[in-house]
Amino acid sequence: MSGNQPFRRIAIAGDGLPAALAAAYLAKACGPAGTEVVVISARETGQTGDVVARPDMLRFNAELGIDPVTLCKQGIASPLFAVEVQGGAGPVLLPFAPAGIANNGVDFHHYWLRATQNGLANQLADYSLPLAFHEAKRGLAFESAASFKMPFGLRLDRAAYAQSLVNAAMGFGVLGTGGALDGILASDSAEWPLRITIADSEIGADFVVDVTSDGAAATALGRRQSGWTNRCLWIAGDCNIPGIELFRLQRAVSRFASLVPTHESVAADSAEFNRIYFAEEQRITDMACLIEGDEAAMRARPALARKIDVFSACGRIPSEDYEVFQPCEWLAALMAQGYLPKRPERLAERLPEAELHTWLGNLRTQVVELQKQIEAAA
Amino acid sequence: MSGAGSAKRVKQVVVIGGGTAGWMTAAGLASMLGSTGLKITLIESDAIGIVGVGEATLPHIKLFNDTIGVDEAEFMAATSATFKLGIEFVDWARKGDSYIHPFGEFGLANQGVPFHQYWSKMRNDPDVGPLDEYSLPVVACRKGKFQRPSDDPRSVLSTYRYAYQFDALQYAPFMRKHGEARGVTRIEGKVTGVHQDSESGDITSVTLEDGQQIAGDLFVDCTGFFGLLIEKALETGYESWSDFLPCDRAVAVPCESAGPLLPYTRATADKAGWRWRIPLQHRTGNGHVYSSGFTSDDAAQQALVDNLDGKLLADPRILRFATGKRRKLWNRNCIAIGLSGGFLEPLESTSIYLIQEGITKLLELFPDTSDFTVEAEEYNRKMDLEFERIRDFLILHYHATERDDSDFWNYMRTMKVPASLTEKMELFRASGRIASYDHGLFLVPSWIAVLLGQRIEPTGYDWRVDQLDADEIRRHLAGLRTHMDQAASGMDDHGEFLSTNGLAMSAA
Ligand SMILES: Cc1cc2nc3c(=O)[nH]c(=O)nc-3n(C[C@H](O)[C@H](O)[C@H](O)COP(=O)(O)OP(=O)(O)OC[C@H]3O[C@@H](n4cnc5c(N)ncnc54)[C@H](O)[C@@H]3O)c2cc1C
Repeated sequence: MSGNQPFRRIAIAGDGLPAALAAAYLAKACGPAGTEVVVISARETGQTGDVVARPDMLRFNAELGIDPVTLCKQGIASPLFAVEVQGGAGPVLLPFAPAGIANNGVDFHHYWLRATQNGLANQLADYSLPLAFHEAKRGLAFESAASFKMPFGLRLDRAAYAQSLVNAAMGFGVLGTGGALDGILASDSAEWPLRITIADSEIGADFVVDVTSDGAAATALGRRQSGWTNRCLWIAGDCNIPGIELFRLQRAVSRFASLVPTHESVAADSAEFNRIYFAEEQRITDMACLIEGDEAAMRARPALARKIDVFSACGRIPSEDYEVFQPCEWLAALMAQGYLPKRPERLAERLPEAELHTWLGNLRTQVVELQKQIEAAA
Repeated sequence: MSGAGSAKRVKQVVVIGGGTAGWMTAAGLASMLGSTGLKITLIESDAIGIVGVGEATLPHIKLFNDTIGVDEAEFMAATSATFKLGIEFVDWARKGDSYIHPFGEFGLANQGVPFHQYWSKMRNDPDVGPLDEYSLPVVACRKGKFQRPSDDPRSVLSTYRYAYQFDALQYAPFMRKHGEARGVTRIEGKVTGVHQDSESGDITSVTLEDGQQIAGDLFVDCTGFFGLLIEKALETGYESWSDFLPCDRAVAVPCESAGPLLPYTRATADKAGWRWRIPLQHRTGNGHVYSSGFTSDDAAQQALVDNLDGKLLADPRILRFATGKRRKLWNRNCIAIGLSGGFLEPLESTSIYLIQEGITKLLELFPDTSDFTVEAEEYNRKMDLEFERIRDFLILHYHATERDDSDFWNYMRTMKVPASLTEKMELFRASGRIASYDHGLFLVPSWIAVLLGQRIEPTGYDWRVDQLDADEIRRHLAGLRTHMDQAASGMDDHGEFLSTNGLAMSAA
């Protein structure tokens, strides 16, 4: 095969939602270049229940032709404004949009902090529209949620969403093999770099994307860690923060497709892929560690320790390259662990005291009003 | 910085130095924090003077000016400023080459796939032409045109930003007026002594030649290459990057303008460095940045003078510098902003940007009390990243070259470069993809412009491009190129735009 030829066949090892998602996207992205996408099931029991799509999944779904409005109308999905994560000291709510609004380039929580230091009794959450919506007894319709122009995600029925992805995948020409994965070998044969055994038969592939829960294909190829090595991309979705499973899958397949996996570019592409994949993994582990709240474990993670220290000192939340969570999620997690800044940002002092109080009062009224309207509509 | 127990409120900032850095800092702090009771004093010495050569800027300066309430027309007239849409690089990869690094996008992304990937697939098609022709700011530069960008994201006129080229000797005085109007106290005098707390080592006050003593809670060192506080007093240390960027001198000279007023800066590679050309309303700024290890001052000066557009307006002036940065830009209660903090040669006009970043980050992390260890560490981390990422981008211009016509170019072409840069070049060569980051000045279009301009050509392209067939892409490209050409043709002549919009010097 010549150097700049796209892959002829990509095998996806896995079942259910992860396999359907990976297959659909890769078939859409790479199919037109002549690449065939084949799903090899991995003998897993299908998962049921709900799955969370973070706000950036809306665009991804749109690319696959999956319309969230239709999903919501079918009762498969509903808008979601925050996720709840079980932490070491109880549940933590991570909102997808900030409380209040920034003023003159300064985040709202600095103004709130300034007011509380002068006696304000309201909690930061009292100014949060996403949390008000999250706690409302009845969910919002997709169109109403969209009308607030703030990011929101979706809570999806896992099996039904997986079916939509399967339908999309079939539309993009994904093939199934019928049998389950029995073995996979890297081969020196000029014909196929990978040979995959399925029951009594064998197929060749240029590349395997492993989305099984235990890395069945990747471990058979000798991998011990997820990520991209040579002809195998192993995407691990395991995380107790809702939304991260789909986030990782979506990011991994779209990034994989945006690189140029041709036979010659694998080395440079995989290095770049892993650089970002592992950076994101670090950010996710930072958040999981913060929510867990083990002091020693947190101090052992420099970027997390920095977030805690800078936030505690002056209320700012330092960001790294390739953040996964938004500042409002970090803020919620830090405050849930009892961290509170010693002081607000000095720039927040520019707003005169009287104006600050009027402004905060108005914001609180707006949140209460909207909350009432939603309740009334229920 | 003193311990938490004795922490006292920061009320008084003393800025030492009245060059571009000093007055931008003082004006910035006064505009943004003056109303919170912060007092700002600036000390400068007419006897010492300013470096006065920073004339080409990046689009970020507009945000700075807007934030602190500078009126654009007033500022442009006062500093004889022109608009800048990018930088032209001449003779860099090969003699005879020319490309423009624009302040804007290339084409329009389609289905989440960057435009240059479509171009990359089709680039050998005779009808497709260079990537430059799909960038509105580049096309406008080539035609000498200018128009302010549109706010409408659907318009091709929204795909670029602009910066300024201005008279550096006029910018500091302009900022002084702005700062003084917002409460900055100016003291004329030479600082001769710096006093530190015997326990904490913090600076407590400075003494002037006439014996005056000025105390403060926080000191900003804007004394230029002197580094009076950050180095002479605090002995912070300097990290030299001269192995990667060996240019260490510049000769600068203004000359009379000739020809149309171009909306871009030009950087022409020379035998042991490069020459700049910055068109202002009333004259052209010129300079030659070179490595004293590879050429002499006389030869460098001659190369500059031989290549001027018009008559010399002053004697050439030689400046010496060391590329690198202070080990800590915020050390104890002193923050070094401007040349006192570090210097990267002006190839991509980044110094004033770094001043601006220094001020912005200081404002964001501005300490409440004298207990600011965490804020200082965070400031240093962020500024270090800014410096390092700009450094890598500058190295790319020199290293990715085919030039072998002098010892200087042979050294630059074959030297070992930071691993992060090698990986970036490899990735682009393999797939046309840019290893991007979230923090740092230069974004994807800048890297594309310079990587391609330096003749690093991708061998592959994003295979999502194949979702459109070749004819469709060809049609799309042709349409876009015509659209860019028409949009640029419809803009005003740059010189005319200045005079008809009340931005010319005489309007001041
Ligand atoms: C060759 C060259 C070309 C450049 N081109 C560009 C460019 O195109 N774009 C760009 O963005 N930047 C450019 N720069 C950088 C730019 O010129 C500087 O970043 C900018 O001028 C800021 O300088 P400064 O204020 O830090 O220092 P200076 O201008 O040197 O000011 C120092 C100040 O400190 C005062 N001072 C010093 N010692 C004392 C003392 N003991 N007591 C009291 N006051 C004192 C002086 O009086 C003066 O006011 C260039 C620099 C060089 C060297």
